[in-house]
Amino acid sequence: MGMRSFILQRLIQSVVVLLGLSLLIFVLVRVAPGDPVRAALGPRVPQDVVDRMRAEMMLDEPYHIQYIHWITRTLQGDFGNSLMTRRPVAEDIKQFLPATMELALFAGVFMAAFGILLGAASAYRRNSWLDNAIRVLAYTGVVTPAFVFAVLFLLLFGYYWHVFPTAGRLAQDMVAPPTITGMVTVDSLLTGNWRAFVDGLKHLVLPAVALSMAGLSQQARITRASLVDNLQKDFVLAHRTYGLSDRSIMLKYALKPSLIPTVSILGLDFAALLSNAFLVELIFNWPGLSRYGVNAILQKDVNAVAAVVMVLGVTFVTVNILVDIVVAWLDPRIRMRIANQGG
Amino acid sequence: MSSSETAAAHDARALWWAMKRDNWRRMWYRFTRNPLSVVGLVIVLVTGLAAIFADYIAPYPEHAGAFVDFGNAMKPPGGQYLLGTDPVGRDVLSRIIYGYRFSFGMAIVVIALAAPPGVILGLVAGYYRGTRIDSIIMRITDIFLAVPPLVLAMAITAVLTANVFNAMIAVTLMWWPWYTRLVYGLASSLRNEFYVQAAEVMGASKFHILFREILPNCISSILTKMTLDMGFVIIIGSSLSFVGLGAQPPTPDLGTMVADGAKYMPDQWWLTTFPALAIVTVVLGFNLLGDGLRDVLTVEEQ
Amino acid sequence: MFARRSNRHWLVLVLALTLLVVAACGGAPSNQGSGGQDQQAGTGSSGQAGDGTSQPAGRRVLRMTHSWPNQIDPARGSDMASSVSLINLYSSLVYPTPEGNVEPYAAESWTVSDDNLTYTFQLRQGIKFHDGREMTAEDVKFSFDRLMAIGEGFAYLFRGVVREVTVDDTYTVSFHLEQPFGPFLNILTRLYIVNSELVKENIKPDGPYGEMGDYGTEFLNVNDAGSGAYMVRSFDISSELVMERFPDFFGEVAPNAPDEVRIIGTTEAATVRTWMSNRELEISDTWQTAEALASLDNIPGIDIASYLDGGQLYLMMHTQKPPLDDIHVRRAIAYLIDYDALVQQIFPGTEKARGPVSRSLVGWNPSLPELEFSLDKAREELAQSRYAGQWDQYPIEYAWTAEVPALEKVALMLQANAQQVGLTIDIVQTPWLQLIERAGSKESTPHLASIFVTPSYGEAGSQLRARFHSSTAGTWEQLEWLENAELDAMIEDALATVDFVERMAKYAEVQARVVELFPTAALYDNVNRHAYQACYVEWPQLQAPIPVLGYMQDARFIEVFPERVASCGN
Repeated sequence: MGMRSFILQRLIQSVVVLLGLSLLIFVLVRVAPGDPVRAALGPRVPQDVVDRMRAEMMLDEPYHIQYIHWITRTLQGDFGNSLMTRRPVAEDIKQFLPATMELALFAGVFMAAFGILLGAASAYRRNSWLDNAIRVLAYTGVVTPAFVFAVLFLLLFGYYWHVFPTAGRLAQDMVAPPTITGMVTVDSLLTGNWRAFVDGLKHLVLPAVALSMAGLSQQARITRASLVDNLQKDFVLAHRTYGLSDRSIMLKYALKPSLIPTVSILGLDFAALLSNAFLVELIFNWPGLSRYGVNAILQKDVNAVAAVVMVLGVTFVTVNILVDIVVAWLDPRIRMRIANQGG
Repeated sequence: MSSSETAAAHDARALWWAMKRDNWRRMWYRFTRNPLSVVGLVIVLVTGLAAIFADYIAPYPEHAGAFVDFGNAMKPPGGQYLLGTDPVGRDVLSRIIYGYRFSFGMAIVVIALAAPPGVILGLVAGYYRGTRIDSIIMRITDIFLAVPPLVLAMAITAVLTANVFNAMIAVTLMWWPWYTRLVYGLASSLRNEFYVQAAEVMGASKFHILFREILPNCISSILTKMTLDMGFVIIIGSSLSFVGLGAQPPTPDLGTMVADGAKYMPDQWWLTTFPALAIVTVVLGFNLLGDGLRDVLTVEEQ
Repeated sequence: MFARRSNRHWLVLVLALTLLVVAACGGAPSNQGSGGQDQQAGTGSSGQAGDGTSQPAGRRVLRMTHSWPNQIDPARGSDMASSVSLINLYSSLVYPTPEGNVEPYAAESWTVSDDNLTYTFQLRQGIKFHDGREMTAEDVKFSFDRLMAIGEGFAYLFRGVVREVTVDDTYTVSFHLEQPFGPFLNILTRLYIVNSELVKENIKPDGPYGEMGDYGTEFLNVNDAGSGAYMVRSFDISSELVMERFPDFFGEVAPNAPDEVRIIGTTEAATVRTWMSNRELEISDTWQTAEALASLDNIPGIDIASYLDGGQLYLMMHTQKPPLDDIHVRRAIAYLIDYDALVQQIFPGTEKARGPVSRSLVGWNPSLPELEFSLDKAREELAQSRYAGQWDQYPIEYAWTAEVPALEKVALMLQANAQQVGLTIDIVQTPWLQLIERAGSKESTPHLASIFVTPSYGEAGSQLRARFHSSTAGTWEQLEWLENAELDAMIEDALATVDFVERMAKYAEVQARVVELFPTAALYDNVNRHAYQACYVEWPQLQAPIPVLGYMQDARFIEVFPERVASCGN
């Protein structure tokens, strides 16, 4: 079995998983007690208006018909209308997803870069004050809930020190760059709007860092552990006796294999990141998909909840496949196993 | 069955126990060699005991429930109220201590409910690796793992109406797959071990193989995970409370306290800061303890 | 050797990366300080991180926070953010006055038929919609028909009241009523007139309203078709509505009225606080806690605006659920509330209520007594109850809505006091939407709930009908399930009375009767409190508040003086 069929098999598995997820979330939002339409329209709207909307949303059909209808339309990219924004959920997602992507991307890069860097520094200077400081930092990162970081950052950097803005994506009087990707920093760079870029970046810092702390700490700990392990392995010691420079040993022989566990846990860290985005976007008033999702959940906006969960599911599954492929590429043992066995 | 055999068995058992005791002593020694592990243990013990004996320890036990004293509302830390008072005049310290009781309770319930089914499914799937049973169990597990746990827990709680009970159910539903996945990995490699194969050859029942041969060798990993998870369940629970989907007032809950306190930021900083520190401390305790256990147990296995 | 050298490498790298990030982001404030002279982007400096030059040069900007979502379609919106938006974007035939009456707005004059069933309005000529088209009687009829067809927003006000609207000629339009309705002109302030041509051009044929397709709902969801003093410049549905002055507006506008109005969807305390202190927000939302407002008040130049909004906070008591079906128990519960603590500590700035209607509404009955706090009297009432001695069999459930944090304090206070007289009250934090659902049936309605009710129009009758008429039992406005036919008749009679003085007298009687039946404890007359930039914003409506939701923030009367910002102090 080659790499190609390995990927194919992972894809098929993922489709099955996503179908299962769609069933799970459908049951969750549709079979829930209470009338979401009444809740959305408010108490003063007469019953016939509510009934009309229920009919529009097919809420009075039997569940299996509803599901088939919903899943067919979902596959075509039509998630139905949102009860909150009163327009197609797909449009909402188109609007809010880029903000979350921007945040997740920034946080993800920050997480991976600093996590590996700190972990490597820590391993290299084992048991020094630097190592201890990094380990304490990493521990703190792992045990502190994201919302605590977010509230803390908001207070310290936003309120007391006025270093960073604490809400939204751009300053109020800043003209947003034309939408190309929907990500403010990228769009402003593409259009050469340096001021908007700097301002967008400033808005990103606090939420992104708050979001990445958990993953960053995890990455640092794992990188340190595996690097410490590998630095003691014979082949590294052997290279050292050959007189190769420290840095080339570090980069060539110790770091790459040490990254395997780091990368394989990236998928999990990314999940944590998406999870925490639900709290962080709320706290920083970040107009992204997660804040939209929280509000949808709290207001029982059925179509929106289902859509957000499905989008997250697809993203997450895709990331996991990518991680698997990268790990397979990094780790010759896994590549061999894939080549040898069928399952 | 002759008496000499019985005596031999008796001796063997005594020897086994002696080794076990010796093991324990060695493990304890190794555990205490790492000051961080000891710190973790101390934190867990202190907060745990505080939670159990909250009624005797908290300076104002009545402040845990419905209690108002507007005259003493919003007192900054110090003096009569060590960590200050909240908007209705309740002692923050007392509420944190009772908050621990709630956090511990939730974490214990969730893990006690999530671990057994997760472990059993993992054992079965791992043992029958490559069969249809394996793929059914693991695909179902994957479904639950396909969305970040907090998100689905939030959705479930919101749908079922927000309260402590539903929050526990939601977190439990999100938690078992992690045990399945852990045990699956262990079980699928352990099934190739010689003693498992020997048991199979001797015609031992599947039940015996799963629970007597494979499970005991997974216990240390499961225990470590459970310890670490105590901390993470507390984080998830407080996150749910933070968005208003967890414990309902007047039940003192650390996440709710952080969220409510945030509305009074930055002037009444103590309302948020101390509960947040309380969460961080207890989670740190469980993490240090869990890591310490892992070091001791895994070395022991080798 | 090995370790030392590498250590330095790594340190340098870590430092460099940290510096890079700090430079990219944190270094920016230093750029910003000089940003005032930097006219690169034409809008002056940005100032989220506090440089004090927050009002863009040459433009008067009014920024207000509100709770979200904000629905700017006149056939859908009705809450505070929506009302404020609609009032600024659209015009109506008549405009409410502080006295509880109306004055001409888009209508120049009107006549009422002798049977009080037909109101004929003469439109002011030359009113321009934002696209330049002139408003005609056709637009009024279209707006009414559209509102009733969609049925959301303020449509409930007109249901059962107006039978039909007819166009008499280009500038004359008649409303035909089902039966005489005293406050008709008051509810007409809620009919916002849309540009019928523009809406028709933007109708999507595929929709639930027959030949009208979607009735332009998709278009009006994010655009406006109004003739108000402001028009939509951009609307980010998740967070912000930006409006700019409409130069051809027909009505009165203050000389220094804002050029730009922003309604921002956040009520987050720390954010509001930061913006206020940076002079990046002129008027805060009304959801700030008393503590947050107190600290905002300490910032130089910021004052607290406070006005009676016509609403009250009610402790609603389910009159059909034991033990609250006994009036003694209801009275006892009312005695368990410390009203002084309520208006002084929990909701500072509010006023003690007299009767079930706010003193700010015309038709309020001033002869009714204030409620008092007395555990002894509560015990006496309980002793007289037929449930006396069996309190443990009747736990009382008290639902409070999490959206208003201070309500928890009321709940805790009631619970603590109830304990002292032997009553068990379970308090349950309930999301607002869930409480609405629970109100739907007698069985699921909780015993007690504290709910704010604000009148739909500025007259006691609005509140009396919404709160105590049987038709609203089962909605969030009436958790009491009063269902008293005699009271219903009194309310209907009062509302059908067209003579103003007579109608007011009837309202007073209804209020007295409600107090006798004691279904509710009106906890206080609600006051809306905003923090605002008193040093550079003049808000004349505060002198004569209009107790109709949203009208206090009609931006065309508010004046902004950016040049004064520098002298506000810091």
